Amino acid sequence: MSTRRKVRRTRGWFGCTSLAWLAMCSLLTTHAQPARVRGAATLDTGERALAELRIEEAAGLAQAALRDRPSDPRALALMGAVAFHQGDYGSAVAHLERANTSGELLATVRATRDLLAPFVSASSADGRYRVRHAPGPDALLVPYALDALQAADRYISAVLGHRVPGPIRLEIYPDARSLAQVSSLTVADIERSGTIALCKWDRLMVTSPRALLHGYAWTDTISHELVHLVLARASRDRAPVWVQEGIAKYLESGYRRGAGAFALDATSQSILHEASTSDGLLPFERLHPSIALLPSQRDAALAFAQVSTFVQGFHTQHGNSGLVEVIRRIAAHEDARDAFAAVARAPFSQLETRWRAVVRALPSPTRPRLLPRRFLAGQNPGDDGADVAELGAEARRRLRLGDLLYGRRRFAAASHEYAAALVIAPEDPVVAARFARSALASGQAERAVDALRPVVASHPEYAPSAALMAQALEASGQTAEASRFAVEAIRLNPFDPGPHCVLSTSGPERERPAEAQRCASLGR
Amino acid sequence: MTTAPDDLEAYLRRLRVRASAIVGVRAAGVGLSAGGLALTVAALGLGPLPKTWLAISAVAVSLLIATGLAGRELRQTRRFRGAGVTRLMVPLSPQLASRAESALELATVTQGTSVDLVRAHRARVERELRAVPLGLVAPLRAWLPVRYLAGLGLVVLTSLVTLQTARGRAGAYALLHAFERPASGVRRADLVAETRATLRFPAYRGRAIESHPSADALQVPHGTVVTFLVRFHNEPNRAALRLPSGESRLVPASLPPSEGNWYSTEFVANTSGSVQIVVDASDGNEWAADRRPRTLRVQPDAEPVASLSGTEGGADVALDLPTSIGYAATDDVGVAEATLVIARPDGTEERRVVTRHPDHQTVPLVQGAVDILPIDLGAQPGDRLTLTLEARDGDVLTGPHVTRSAPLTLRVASAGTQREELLAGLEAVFDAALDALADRLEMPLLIEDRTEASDQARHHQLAQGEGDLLRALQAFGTAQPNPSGPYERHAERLERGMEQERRAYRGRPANGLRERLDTQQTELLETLVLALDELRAQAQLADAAELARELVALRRDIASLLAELRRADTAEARQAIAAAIGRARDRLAQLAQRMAALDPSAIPPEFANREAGPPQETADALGDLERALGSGDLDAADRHMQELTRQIDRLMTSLGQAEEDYAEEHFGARDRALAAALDALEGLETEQRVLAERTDRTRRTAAARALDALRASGDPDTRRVANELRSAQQALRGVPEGGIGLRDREALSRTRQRLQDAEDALEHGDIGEARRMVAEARADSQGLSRDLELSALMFGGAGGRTADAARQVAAAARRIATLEGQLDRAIPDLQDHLVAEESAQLRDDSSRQESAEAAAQRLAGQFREGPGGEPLHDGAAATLDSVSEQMETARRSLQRLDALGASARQAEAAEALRTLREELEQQSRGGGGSGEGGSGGGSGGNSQIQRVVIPTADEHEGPQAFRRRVLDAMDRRAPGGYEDAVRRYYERLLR
Repeated sequence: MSTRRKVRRTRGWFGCTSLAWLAMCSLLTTHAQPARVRGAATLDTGERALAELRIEEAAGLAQAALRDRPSDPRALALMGAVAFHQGDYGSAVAHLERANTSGELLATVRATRDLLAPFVSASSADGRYRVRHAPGPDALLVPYALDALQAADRYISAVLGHRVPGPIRLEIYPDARSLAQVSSLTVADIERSGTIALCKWDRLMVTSPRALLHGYAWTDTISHELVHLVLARASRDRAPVWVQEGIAKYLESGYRRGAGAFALDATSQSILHEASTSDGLLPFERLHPSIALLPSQRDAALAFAQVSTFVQGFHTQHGNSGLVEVIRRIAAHEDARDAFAAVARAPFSQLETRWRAVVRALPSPTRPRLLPRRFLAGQNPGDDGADVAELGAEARRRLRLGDLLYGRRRFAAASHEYAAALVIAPEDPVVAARFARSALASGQAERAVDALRPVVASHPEYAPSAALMAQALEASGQTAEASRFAVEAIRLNPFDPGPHCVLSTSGPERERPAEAQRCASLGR
Repeated sequence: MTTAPDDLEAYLRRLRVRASAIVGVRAAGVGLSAGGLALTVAALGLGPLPKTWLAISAVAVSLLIATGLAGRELRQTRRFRGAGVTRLMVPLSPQLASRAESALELATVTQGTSVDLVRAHRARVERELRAVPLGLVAPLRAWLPVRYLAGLGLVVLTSLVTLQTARGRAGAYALLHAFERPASGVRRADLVAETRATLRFPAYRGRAIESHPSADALQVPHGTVVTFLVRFHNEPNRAALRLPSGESRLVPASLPPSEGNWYSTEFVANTSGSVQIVVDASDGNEWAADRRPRTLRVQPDAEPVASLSGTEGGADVALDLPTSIGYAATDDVGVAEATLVIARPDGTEERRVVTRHPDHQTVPLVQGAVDILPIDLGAQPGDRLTLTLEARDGDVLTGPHVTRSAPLTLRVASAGTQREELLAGLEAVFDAALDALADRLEMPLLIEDRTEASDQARHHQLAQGEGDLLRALQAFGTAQPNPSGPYERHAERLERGMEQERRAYRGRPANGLRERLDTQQTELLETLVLALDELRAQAQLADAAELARELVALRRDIASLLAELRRADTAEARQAIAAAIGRARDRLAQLAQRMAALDPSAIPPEFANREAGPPQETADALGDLERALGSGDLDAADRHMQELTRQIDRLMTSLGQAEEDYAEEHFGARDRALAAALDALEGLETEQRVLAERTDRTRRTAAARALDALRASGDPDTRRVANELRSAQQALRGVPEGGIGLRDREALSRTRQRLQDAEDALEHGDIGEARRMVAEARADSQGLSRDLELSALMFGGAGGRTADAARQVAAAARRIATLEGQLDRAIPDLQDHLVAEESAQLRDDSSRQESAEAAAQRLAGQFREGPGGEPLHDGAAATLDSVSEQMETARRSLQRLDALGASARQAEAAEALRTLREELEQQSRGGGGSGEGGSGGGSGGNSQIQRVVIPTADEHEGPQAFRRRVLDAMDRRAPGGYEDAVRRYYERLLR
């Protein structure tokens, strides 16, 4: 199963939620008057525009409707909805309350307003990207988030042929509880499903990497959510989930990949390979209506792997213009499979067959150990104990001995025990990280690098490996590569001072002072 | 015709400069000497404090004279202008002067003259002049003759000498500063010729009087009496000394006239700052200050320095053995008193004066040692006593200064501290094992440049570390209750391995033997480390579990004390609850500390983010409870009690999670069931007490009504009651007061007074009041009887008077109880005097009583059958059965509207429940959960951490039987030297 996100991004969330939202607003307005002919058409158009995420158009129509009928509950509800989509939560609540709206959605809007009231805002120089975050440590994320947004926006807009008018709003929540507060998810849902980010109501909603034990690929997640935002607007929120997820997964790392080819992570590759060799690939029909409805997390992970490789194959063959055409057709109410078939000038079944052939031809990867994301909230332990529990008894015994020796600051002896554990579990990221840590502390940087190389490849999202790799490379004099891994580590967990310290001495000259400051402040 | 300046002009220019310079010097000399002389005369004439206008005029006149005379001299230089300068040569050679003049004149004539002749003439003059030095033309000696200089010098010297006089100098100062306008408005003048000071130090300093020839910069200890003497140049109208602390009048000093104009004043030095001597310049109010700056620096008295020294290495102190505390206090003035202040856990303080000296006999250093006996201070095992030394100095002027030493906290040894010591020992063994393993791993045998010598060196080093480990392991194992436990086995294995290695390194290296043994020994050490790690974790958990039990017991204590406080808000109850809160706070802190040590993250993992969510709950339920009690808000206290319960529950839950692997054997289902049963018992007791109080209230109001009715219907036969009352009074009068303490005497006096009140009430026919007074007298006499009985058991009293008093009070108490019964019988049936509401309440309460009865039966079942079918406490179950019967009787009485009977049974049931709860709590504290019938679930499998359990008073026998046994034991002779310790032990048991 994929170690990557199982971010909940259901098809038509924008459309469905917006329509449902408006319908509820309309129904729940207690003083609804019989619609007058004049203005009713404006409201109809406005509501449709909002449902199709033409927010700017909806805003104009809502204003016009309010001018005509300032106390019309429907107009007020539309204005409130628009304000909510535009991030003006105070105004949204005010309009919705005046419209006498009630129910869970108003509660969500209020909760959003209340949660974000103390948040801090930051914008890019041109004002196109706006980041809101809780005051305190999350301020560290802002420059990285703005850079990621800018790069991802440039890349995604070019590939999908659609540019969101902006501003693009990103909200970073300090923990899973906050994400639950502003969405329809519960904390239990979030912890169970690993949901970490959402793209909903025309904004990107992301949990801070601080909320997880070892962080996560949060800049890729921002990019992933941005794909959803662009795609939803381009397709008027009509793209089915498998198309959404396939394209988002395929494009999410493009902003930093440059010319490099898309590649599934090792775990997804492994699942896909297993399914293809055992004839266990899921028919695309089963991905309707939602990937989230698949019976198991493994099936969901397989579905993500399938759709992203399908999109990869299609994009390779038909390029950006092919993808743009597919989206255009979907926006024009065409079935997604028909759209793909039309652009490819071949029946969808044939496309599927071709894709299956490609998947079967994929090389057999080794199956890496799955390291689930660990939220800090709730009953989760604040350490890697659960990850270690999966190891065999002898490896655990050696690991315990290593830990005890490390705790006594006998680093060389600890590295001896960790090395013994590493022999038993050579590609285990936790064991490799512990070995590397003790090897580094006992002046064996080269050995640390050797131990970490396989795990940074198989577990690219395990932040401690990347951070230790950067430190080990720096200690062994390979500063350029150290700098690269430090950036990788920050991409996963910017709150670890280690990578910042590496960049403060090995990073680009102009960034060193800032990194040195981060190194000092985080290290305190 | 024009000619360029040549030798002639240059010569004349030099001559002009020389002549002018000499004249200038003369003019300056004349001017200065004349001006100086004028100023000197003015200074002498005007003195130190002239009128300002006069001083300015004098200065102006002097300047005029100086400049006038100097100007007159300088007028001579006008003669040196142009060709006039050649006239200076006349005295030397009139011809030369004339020729030079003509040469100058011809140089300006352009027509009618022969240029060649002019040049020739000029050349001749220049030639002649070259032979004439300037000194000959303008001779210095002639122009500045010695007599002239001597005259000037004489004038200057005269002026200077004159100015050296006091008046001259003061006058000159006044003239030179005539134009100054001081910001303070006080003129400065040279007023003072000299100062002196006589210092009389504070008595505590013990210093002799000192005289100082100058008082310009005084530095004296605080409180010194300073006699400040000033000699003025001129006798002032008025003079004063301006000090930082105020102004002091200078008055003529009683010194012989030959000494001069001496003035003096006296002050006490208490503030540092500048000192000014001022005089009234005229008869008006124009003050002038002496020009010299003066300072007074007062050295403050330092506070005493106090210190305490406790037990060596901060070891815990024994509860019932004296601990010596060293003290020391120093002070520059001297220490007058040192007091040891001991803060008890309940927040109260005890003060013991360890040294005291009269203020005039203080000593600079006091030191010594004082014994403290924690048990005498009301401490219990595990309590902390905070000691400070308060030192007071003998400074009677500015003090006394009091200071406190840094606090010294002593912890009273307890089972918990023993466990801590064991844990520390285990930790030390574990560290030694870890180091031995690390040494072996960090010094691999197979190295590139391996030699026999390197092998031997390595072996020697490793053997040393492992030898240390072996000794530590054996010592720790021996100290355990079960010496043949795991430590012994590990020690044997380690020793065997070491011996094998020793043999392998004695002879020539056998083929691969050393390598095999190295691997074997490494594995052995690894196994040992992991085993010790396991034992350490178990011991930590057991320790935390024990603390948790103590905490639960304390929580129950606090709850019952709170209930007690609701009944009777006494200082004793408050003090007890404060002590219990203090202990609970201490245990909570210890438990939190232990649980933090159990946190697996104690061994640092890779970098990981830390919880960044809401702040951790820091509710200080104990603090809130304390505050609520302080403000007298018992309802709030109840709420905070519930919060405390929740807080403890959360701790227990956390502990339960940490303890997952070991929970059942250390803090198992049995403990939890017992804790739950105790909670239920506490609830049942509260309910029963409430019911009893309600019925009693109804009974009393009905009785009052009945008595009113009785009085209305006629006087009852009170003679028999009065006789009994007098007998009781007689019995109390015979109690010998000499054998009882002050508090008991007060109780005796109170009982007598109540009986007197009852007699008065009877005389007035107020049977109700008489009964109330008799009831109070009965309660007082019974309490007094119990106290005296206990005192008699412990001390006997001189000549057995305490025992005698106890017997007599007991007899009187019995008589008073009989009297109360007679009075009750004299009161008619209460049922007839119940109002409808009261009857309804009694009926309602009968159903509440029935519920309580059912709860008591259920609880009895819980005690009878605990987890796994094992009884929790058979005795408790039996008591609850009996309580249930009392409740049933009470319920029937309630149904019959018999308030008197119901009230009595209900009170009995509540009291029985209280006694049972207290017994069980005592057992749970002392017995560690291994109460009756529960031995199977004890800690037999973990003998290395067993505690030494001292049986408590009520654990196996009733209180009276226990006391009897103690008294029997007391009768036996204690071993020599242990008499006091044994006595204290028995007294403690009897309390």
